[in-house]
Amino acid sequence: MKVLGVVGGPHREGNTVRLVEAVLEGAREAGHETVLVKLADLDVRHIEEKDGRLYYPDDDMARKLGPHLESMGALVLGTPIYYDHVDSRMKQFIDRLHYWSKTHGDEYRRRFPDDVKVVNCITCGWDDPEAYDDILAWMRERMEHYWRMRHVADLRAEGTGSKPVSSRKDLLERARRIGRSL
Amino acid sequence: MKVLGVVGGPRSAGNTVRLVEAVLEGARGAGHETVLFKLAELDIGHLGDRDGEVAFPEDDFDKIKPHIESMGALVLGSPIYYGQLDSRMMTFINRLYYYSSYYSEENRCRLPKGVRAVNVITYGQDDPHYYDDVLEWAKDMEKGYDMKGIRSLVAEGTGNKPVESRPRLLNRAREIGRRL
Repeated sequence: MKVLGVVGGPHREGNTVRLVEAVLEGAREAGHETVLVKLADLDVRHIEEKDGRLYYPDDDMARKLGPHLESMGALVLGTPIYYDHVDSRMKQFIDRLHYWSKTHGDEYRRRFPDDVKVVNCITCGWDDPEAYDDILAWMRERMEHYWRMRHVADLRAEGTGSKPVSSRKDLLERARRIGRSL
Repeated sequence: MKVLGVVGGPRSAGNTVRLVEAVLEGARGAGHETVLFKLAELDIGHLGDRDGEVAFPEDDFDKIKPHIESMGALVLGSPIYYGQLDSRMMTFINRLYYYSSYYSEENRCRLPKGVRAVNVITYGQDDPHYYDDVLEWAKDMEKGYDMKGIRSLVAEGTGNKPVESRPRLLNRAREIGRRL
């Protein structure tokens, strides 16, 4: 099975990438193929309007992420929390999933795999592990309701200013264990 | 005073633009100067990274900056996509980090004090309170910048009830604009 990791935020080697990588390491140990996409490396544009209808640009979301999204068995989403929500790259990624929605058309919805497992990862500076449980619930509801995914686990790295993910052996081991269980 | 309107979403003549325009009409009626930016017509990137620190790209956000630094009121308009403001508005809000005291105390001082705010959201769901949580979230964000007198305006059920067909809603929007 293919496990696709998608990471938001501006940092290519930050806490969020490290946490998602640990889940993918576990997945590889269990024999899965993994792909990691850092949205900061891609050129993804917003949904546009053409002739009064929504238009989905033919950019890296369509060309580079599209094929992986259509063949994945599991999705690992990772985002830093900015302004008490997912960051703008992750929100843009979620908005762009609309291409595969029923609203766009059944033929697009059919191309999105069934029963995808999902793991949601958030990182934040605030040193309270439960501070953003509402955002994890929001992410989970989007993926379950719109894409009928199967939620597997949430991962939280709080207080990243004083406790970088790379220093948290217990958290990284838990991430790998979740990856192995996919 | 200057009233700055910023609209997210992909549509340049949709429900959100129409409703924000009505607020600005009201503001002009009360003698205020108004400026409207449609984010769909601008090129505004995400936050960048320089040596592990957050960095700010040079792009069309620079066109809005002089207005942000001289505004007396801010009118934010966005359609709701997936239960939150759309990706253009989220990008704009992330870019406001430039004015956050966490980033730069000096920049923070360039944001006027006591800015009034109006949050305008539009969506297909028929319940006018369906996205109250999003309005609360936007309000909290604005309070973080010491904005005052924050008002909300909701156009629900835009599929069957386009904003243009709702004179009472448009009047309320103009009234909110007049009272800024």
